[in-house]
Amino acid sequence: MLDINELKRNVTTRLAFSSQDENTITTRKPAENTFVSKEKNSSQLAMIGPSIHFKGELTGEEGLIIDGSIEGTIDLKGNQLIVGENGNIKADVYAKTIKVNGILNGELHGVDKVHISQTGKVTGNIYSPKVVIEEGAKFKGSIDMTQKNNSSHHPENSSAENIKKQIHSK
Amino acid sequence: MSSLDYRALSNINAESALTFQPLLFSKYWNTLSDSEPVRILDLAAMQPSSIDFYSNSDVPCYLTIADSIGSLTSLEINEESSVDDVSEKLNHLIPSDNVAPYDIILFWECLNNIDADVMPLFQEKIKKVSHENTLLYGFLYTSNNSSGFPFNFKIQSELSFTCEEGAKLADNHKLINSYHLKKYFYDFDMSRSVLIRNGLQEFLMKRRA
Repeated sequence: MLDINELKRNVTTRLAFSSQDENTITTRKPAENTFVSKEKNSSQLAMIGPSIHFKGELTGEEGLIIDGSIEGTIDLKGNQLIVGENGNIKADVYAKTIKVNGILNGELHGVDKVHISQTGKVTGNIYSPKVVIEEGAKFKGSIDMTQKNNSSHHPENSSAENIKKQIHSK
Repeated sequence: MSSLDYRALSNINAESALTFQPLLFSKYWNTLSDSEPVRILDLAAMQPSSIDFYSNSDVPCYLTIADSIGSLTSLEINEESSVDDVSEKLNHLIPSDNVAPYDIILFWECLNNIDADVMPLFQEKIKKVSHENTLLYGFLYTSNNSSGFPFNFKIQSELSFTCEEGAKLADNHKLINSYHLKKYFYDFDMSRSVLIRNGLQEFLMKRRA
């Protein structure tokens, strides 16, 4: 049974503000044996709850669910991002896979896949080799699927800068 | 096309959706390279299935979607709405400034909803966003045959589509055929057009060099 409050307490302890930049949140590296699979189910992901509002650069090396409001940039390297139904994001997003159930305004850079569910509302361009937009989803923008057959999606190559390079290399 | 041909091209599947073979879609699809990125402008409501189709293909593509049927239907030139007003709305719907031209423009069934007075402006817009050899691909309703429209199309593969009754053509929809297409898009040659089902016409045009 998933205790959402316990999960939030865990997230609070895992989030650490960078001392170099007050507008940067860095999630710590998970223990090596924490995640077996790259595609984690939502109960294994860190979570930013609906009461959290953040402005700045959000970076991390683990998957994340965002149900709050974020403004700025989100860089999850080779990890998964899920925007919950309450999530409201104004940011350029870089991740391995991105699923949007809430609102997202900004560019979506998904190394593997971008998925907008039927409750999702996205305004901005999508850069990803695979894109799914469910019936009922709202989307305004262009989709760049020019980076096909890219098999070298190692996390270390998946920072925002490398994702940009991979996607715009053509 | 006889009713026998119609039966040969379509059948009812388990979900009661009509499945048919678009004869020209595969021809258009075969022109695409799986190494060179293709710029596609998708006009009209077919996004989830077409995005899924392109997403699962090996063809690298840049897809721009303008869900245009509703917007195009509302465009009229009259006392309240001048040519400039309509041009501005078209610019908003299909931006052309600082946009690289598209290799393919998909019309599906939106052309029936464009007012004849608006069509020259629309044609100009299409010309602006195209280049030599740009392909126009889509469907038209050429008759009011009740078994011929309206449908929501879904691409299953380059060899088959399904369609379900759903979307309504606007009350003031225009029945047009390949003759009208050649007249409106005079910069394009009609590569082929096929009356694929009762009143439903598939077409493929290519811009002249």
